[in-house]
Amino acid sequence: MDDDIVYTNGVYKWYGELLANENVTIRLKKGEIVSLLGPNGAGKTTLVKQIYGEIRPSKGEIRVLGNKPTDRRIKKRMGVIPQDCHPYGDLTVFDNVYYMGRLKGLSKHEAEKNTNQLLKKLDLEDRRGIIARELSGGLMRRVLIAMALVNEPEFIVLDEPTVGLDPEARREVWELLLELKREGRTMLLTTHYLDEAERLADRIYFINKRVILSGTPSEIKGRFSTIYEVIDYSTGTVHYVEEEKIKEFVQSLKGKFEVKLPSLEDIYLKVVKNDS
Amino acid sequence: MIREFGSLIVMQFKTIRAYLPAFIFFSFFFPIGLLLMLGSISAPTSYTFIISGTVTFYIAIGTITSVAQTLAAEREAGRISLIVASGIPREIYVISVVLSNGVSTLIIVPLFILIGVIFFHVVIKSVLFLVLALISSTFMGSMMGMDLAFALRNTVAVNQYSSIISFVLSFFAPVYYPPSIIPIPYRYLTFIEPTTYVSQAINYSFSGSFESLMWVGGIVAFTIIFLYIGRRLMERM
Repeated sequence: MDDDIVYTNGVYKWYGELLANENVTIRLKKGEIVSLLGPNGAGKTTLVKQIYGEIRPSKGEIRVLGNKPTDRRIKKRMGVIPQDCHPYGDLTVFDNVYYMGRLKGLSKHEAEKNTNQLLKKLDLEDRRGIIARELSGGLMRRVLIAMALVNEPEFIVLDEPTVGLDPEARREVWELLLELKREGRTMLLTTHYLDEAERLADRIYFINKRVILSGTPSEIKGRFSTIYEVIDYSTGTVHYVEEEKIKEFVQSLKGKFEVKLPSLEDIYLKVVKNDS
Repeated sequence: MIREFGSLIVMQFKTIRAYLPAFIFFSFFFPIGLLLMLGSISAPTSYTFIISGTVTFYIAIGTITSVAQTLAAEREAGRISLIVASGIPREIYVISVVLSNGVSTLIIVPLFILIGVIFFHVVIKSVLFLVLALISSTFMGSMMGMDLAFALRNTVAVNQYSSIISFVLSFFAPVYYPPSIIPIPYRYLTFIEPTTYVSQAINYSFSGSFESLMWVGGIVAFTIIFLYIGRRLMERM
């Protein structure tokens, strides 16, 4: 627990009669990308808001970087991109990043230096003087990432960072996040894109008010791998074969074939359906 | 925290640039046109009410409507979450919005007073009462705008109702004339409209009457009520 960047223990959140989170316990270790997956209304954003200290849990405990997330000093060590968030449309790209640095307690010199470095790194240098509302969705998301990184945070929270982006812009954001991962940053990512979680996350929590399944993508797949999907390219047919018969079955195939574990999407649909 | 608050204020003022044409029209040309038009068709005995009524209308638009719409837009764009996540308390962010709107409203008011002095020969006997009336009214209007923004979840509804309420409170309340003109029992209804207090407090300050302070007392009472409601609404967010 001491080396956890985030630790939640038995978190409950009610909005009046409505239960949004039920007994949620999750952990994030240094350098990990952890993804929260779940359907709409599963309480992912509510949980994330409690983790970055916007709202308090009704019951249970949350620790971020060893302290309560509502502590201002802890917030200054985090970088957050909330859900459906836009940069200040009437400020320039530079001003958006610079003033976020100032709000996070950086001196003028530090904020200016970090902003310039980030604009260069995120390929926003040519657009530094452009008003943010004139940017495309993908570029706005890049500005938000720069705003989240300007204080060189130890922990980054991204609530559905690629929702509404076209496939190319999504890939761009993925590349950025993977680069941050290579730098050793710890990230909490909510998404309902399974491919995104599979591509980026070290560990996944399936959430439907409570944690219904967790593990690394391969562990989760492994747990549901009693039936394999076999595609026979010589005939173009798809077969579902039990684990103990798989060797025998593939030996009987004449041409090229592919053996796949069930996809994360198959598992997600199965566990969420069973939980509802 | 003071440094961060200063940055917030600078950010808020920088964003005003984008609304410069609307700001110039509604801050200068529209109220000046309204003042001169009303002045040309009114008796000299009404001149002080034309000034106090137009200033009241301007404060209603500049605070109730403007603060409500700004906060609703900030919430919809996720920026309240963004700022709270950066370690700035929600209340401080709201105050920065309120303050920047309030200041940009108040800085124009001397122009209206100047027009009153030059064109309508209005004499201001108590600058202190006038300043008190203006500052308390601006703060009260801002609190009302904040309540509207947080009470309604739908931004379109906030935009519509904040405009409707500002116009209703400016033209269906005794702001261009004294409440005594309205027959009883309807007169009592005007006392639940905060703009009645704003216009009367400004008007009495021109004559230097202590009655201005009595009306300011009403404004302060409304401010406390709106602050309490705002506090409760923020806790609910």
